[in-house]
Amino acid sequence: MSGRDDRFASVYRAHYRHLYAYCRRRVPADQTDDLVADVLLAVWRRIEDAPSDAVLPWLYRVAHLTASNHWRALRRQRRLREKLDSLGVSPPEPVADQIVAREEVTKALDVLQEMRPADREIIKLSVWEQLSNEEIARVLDLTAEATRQRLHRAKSRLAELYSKHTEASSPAAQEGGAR
Amino acid sequence: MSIEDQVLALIEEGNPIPDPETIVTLPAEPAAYLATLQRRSSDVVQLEEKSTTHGRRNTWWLTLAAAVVVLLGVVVFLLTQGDTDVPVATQPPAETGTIEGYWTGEEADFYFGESEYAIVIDGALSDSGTYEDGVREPDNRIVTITSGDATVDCTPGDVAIINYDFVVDDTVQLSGTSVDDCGLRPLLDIETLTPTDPFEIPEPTEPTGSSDLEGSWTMGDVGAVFDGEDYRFVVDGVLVDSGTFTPTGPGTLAFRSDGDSPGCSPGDTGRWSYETGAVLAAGHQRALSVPYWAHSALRTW
Repeated sequence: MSGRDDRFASVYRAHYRHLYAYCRRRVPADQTDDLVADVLLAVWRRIEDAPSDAVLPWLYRVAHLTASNHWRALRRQRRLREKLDSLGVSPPEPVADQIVAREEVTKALDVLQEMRPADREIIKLSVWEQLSNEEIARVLDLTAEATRQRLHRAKSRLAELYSKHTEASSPAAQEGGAR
Repeated sequence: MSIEDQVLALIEEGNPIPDPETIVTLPAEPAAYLATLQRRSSDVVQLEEKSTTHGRRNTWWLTLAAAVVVLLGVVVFLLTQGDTDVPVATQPPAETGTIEGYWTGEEADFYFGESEYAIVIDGALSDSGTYEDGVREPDNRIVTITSGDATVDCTPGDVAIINYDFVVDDTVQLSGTSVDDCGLRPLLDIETLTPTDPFEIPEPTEPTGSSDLEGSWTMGDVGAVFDGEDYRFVVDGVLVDSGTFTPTGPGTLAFRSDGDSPGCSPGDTGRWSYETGAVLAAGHQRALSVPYWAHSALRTW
């Protein structure tokens, strides 16, 4: 193998599991393999750009950009589905994730899903990928200070949104709404 | 435990893969996977080889391929956007080596001026700013874009200097986008094509009082809006800087830019004595430019 291939193989062996986990945390299970493959293709083409240290944040950045394309593709698919629906031709629904979680966890994840994409991503990088502010800054191409501020605000917004959901679903609120 | 800690703990519990080390199967050894990747990108590799060995003869072919792809993109765009007001586009670029012009890629239209760009999605301006062209890869072009400031989707105080890395190659494939999708105030003529107000900025008024910093202030040509912990500086109706502020004493406050201004870098700080006039750090003086310099209440800090 060439030095380029060796470098790719090294990155692959060291970080495949983390890359797979990153992708799985952002797309449904049935789309994870495709996204991982797209990311690895980009990594292979740009392997010369991989830093000698802190490869994982670089890898997450490539995955982040690739996932952005993936989400755009999903939006196009949704629009196509809507058009097909309007014509009375509906393709089968994609297989939904079979994740069983506690009700509170499901609610928290729903709230996270409602957040702006930028807020959602920075919280996931912090909580799920367990990255430091400096590492998150590398992934999102921000300064460490901007990352700290943005993460702080994202967490505040998350807590605020979660509180609103909790209040709205409380027995008192539902009782009031039923009157 | 605070609400914030509670919900973060719940999200942590909801991690689909808490420990990546539990992933036990790899799809293949690196060498085998590499072979798969190389097959997937074989077209690109062939293009690279041809362009180096038969460069001139293939120029017309690449140009023709790019033109066909761009035309297909336009058709797809028109089909998907049929019921919206599509901005009148300039001519597509004559060849892939020219960045100025108009491209349709994915679901967005990209307009490139001499040094400025605009991105239009669904007939509305999504982003604009400046770009730098010049970094070329064997098979694509990387254009680094730095957005301007006023936003559609960002909340006040969000960092708005964003680097986009995307590839404009012969497939006009967008390979990456912003870290978030802040739309920015138009800098190109595209402004006349967008009916939406990119950013609702409260009309600055006279100072509303010093005990409560929230509100709008007018100083010369500059309006300052304080909202919660966020501030915005507005010049001639255009957002020039924003960030966070902290009261530091009677009649004074310190502010910290998020870096979304032409003159400020992220983390720049300044101080404002709002009873006697503005006292600004150098970065903010640059950001606010002439209107502030002309104001008699200003002095250098």
